Amino acid sequence: MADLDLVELYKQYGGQTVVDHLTLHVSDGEFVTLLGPSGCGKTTTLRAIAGLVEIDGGEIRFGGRLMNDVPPHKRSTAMVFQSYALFPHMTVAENISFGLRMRHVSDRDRRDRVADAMAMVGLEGLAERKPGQLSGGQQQRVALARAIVTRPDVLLFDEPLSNLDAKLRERLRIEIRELQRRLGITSIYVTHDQAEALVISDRIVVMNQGRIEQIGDPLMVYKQPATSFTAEFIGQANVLEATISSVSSDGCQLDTAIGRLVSSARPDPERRTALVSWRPEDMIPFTPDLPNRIEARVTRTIFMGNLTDVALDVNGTAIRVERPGSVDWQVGDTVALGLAADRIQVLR
Amino acid sequence: MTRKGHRLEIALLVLPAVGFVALFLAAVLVMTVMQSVGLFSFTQETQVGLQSWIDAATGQTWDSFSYSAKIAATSAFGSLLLAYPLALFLRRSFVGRPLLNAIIRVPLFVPALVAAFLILNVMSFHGIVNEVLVRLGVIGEPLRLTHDDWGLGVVFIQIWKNLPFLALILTAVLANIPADLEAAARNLGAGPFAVFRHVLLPLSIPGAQTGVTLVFIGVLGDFAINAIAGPLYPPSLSIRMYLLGRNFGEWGQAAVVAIVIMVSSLLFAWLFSILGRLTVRVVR
Repeated sequence: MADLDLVELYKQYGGQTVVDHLTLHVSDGEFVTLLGPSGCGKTTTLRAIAGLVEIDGGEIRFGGRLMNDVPPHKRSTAMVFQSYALFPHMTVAENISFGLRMRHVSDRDRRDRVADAMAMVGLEGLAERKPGQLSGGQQQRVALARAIVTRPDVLLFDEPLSNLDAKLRERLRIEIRELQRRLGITSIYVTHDQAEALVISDRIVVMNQGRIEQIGDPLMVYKQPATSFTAEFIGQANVLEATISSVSSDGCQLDTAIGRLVSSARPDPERRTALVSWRPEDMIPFTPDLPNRIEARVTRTIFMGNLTDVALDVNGTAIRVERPGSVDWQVGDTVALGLAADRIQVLR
Repeated sequence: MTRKGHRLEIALLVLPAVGFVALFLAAVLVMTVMQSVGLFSFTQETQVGLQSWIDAATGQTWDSFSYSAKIAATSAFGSLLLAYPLALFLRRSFVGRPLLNAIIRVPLFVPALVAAFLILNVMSFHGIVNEVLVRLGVIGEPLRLTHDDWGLGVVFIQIWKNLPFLALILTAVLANIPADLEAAARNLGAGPFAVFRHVLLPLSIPGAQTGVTLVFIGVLGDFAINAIAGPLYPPSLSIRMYLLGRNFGEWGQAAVVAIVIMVSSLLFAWLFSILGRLTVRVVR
């Protein structure tokens, strides 16, 4: 067990910067997700922690110990790969015990620990199968067992669920999270799936173009996105340009293309303009106690089962609203919507 | 189109290849077997029996068999030993890789007989190697590098010819091993040698086995290179077969030798597959 430090981590490929001076502290036993679109540097960062990618600058420390020059097989990390990377010529039991064999654990200990790990991920009875004879979900569990059986300092997950169907993915998310809590192993999880990140993480690191956009717990990253990238990457968001007309101790007034909005955010009084955002589900039918009233024309409604996604137009500006269940709004209707002041974020 | 019509179409598509192989191979095989038991004799009265088998079961046939098998095994495993490190090396990317790749493929474009003839010039009693060594005073008199009793010259030419072929197969096999497997092994605590021993080696054995088998069978039944650079005695199996039929008119015995070549090819292929599986079990 150990905490993990990345200090000014830097990596480039052929002149192109992939990881741009990334600094991150992960506490002992914490579950941190690197979330971002493909090419944002999250997988490179993960592989750098494992030592599978050589870095061009910065430091990697496990429990304070500098890891930069430690070869991958001597770092105590265990990785779960997107492709699972199971050894096709070995049985399930041999795959799981591989890491123990490499560490010269005795035969008896090895058998016990492999059996424990298999029980932990629900693989009883499959010890003698070859990976090719298993379903995707079972292969994923083998990969997981193979990683935890060595009791590594740091567990690394590289989009481990992205090759599975939606139902299984949802179940395994929760299983991985519970397993990690039980074992208390410091974990870094890479995904581009925001729902997965919200479910599984203690903290989310939103990455874009090799840099950190925002770090926070799932609630904070969702409710208080710091940048338009975070706002739009995690969930849906209405993002508008605004001129800050006044800032007081209660909040601020913002002039936007859809009119003046009142927000409880308190941006730096020096700032003249900003991007503002709010979630589509935070717009509700107007009631007089709400400070913001927006009249909008319905341009499209999409019924999605548990909610309805409504596209609206306000003087030529498109906004989105999500309403629970179904709505009786018709295309062309003009509706009055309200927005609480604390739901409007002023972005960085 | 009806299902039945479709089936007919498939049959027609497959027929030329399968029909050709089946018809001619089967016909030749049946003829050979029949000749070996005295039927369809060109030169003698038809006399059904095992006389040809009895006549062919001599020390000379055994000498030819053990010579050919020895040459084949040495050439096949020799090529493998040289080609494997090369293929491992070619996995990495480096500046001269395309050039190296091109150079090792050259022998694939030179017909075996031509190659044998060219190499003969280098290795023969008064060839370049011997002349240079004698002039430098390294050796007192020229070495017998070709037509030697052991068949060294033949092995040399066979390896020259087959090494690129094996390297090609092994390079493809090694390239097909996903990089993630190597990364996973390293991540789980395997150093460079352990990665090779537990991942790359076992996963490349099926390819190596195929390559070794193909080279072995080719060399076991070789006529041309043995005719040019082989020892005077024993003749290779193919040469013996030819001599028996052509020079001595013993077509029945020639058929027996042909069957020996075919059956031992099959047996060795089977042996190599067992060897391959055992090796995987041991090294994984």
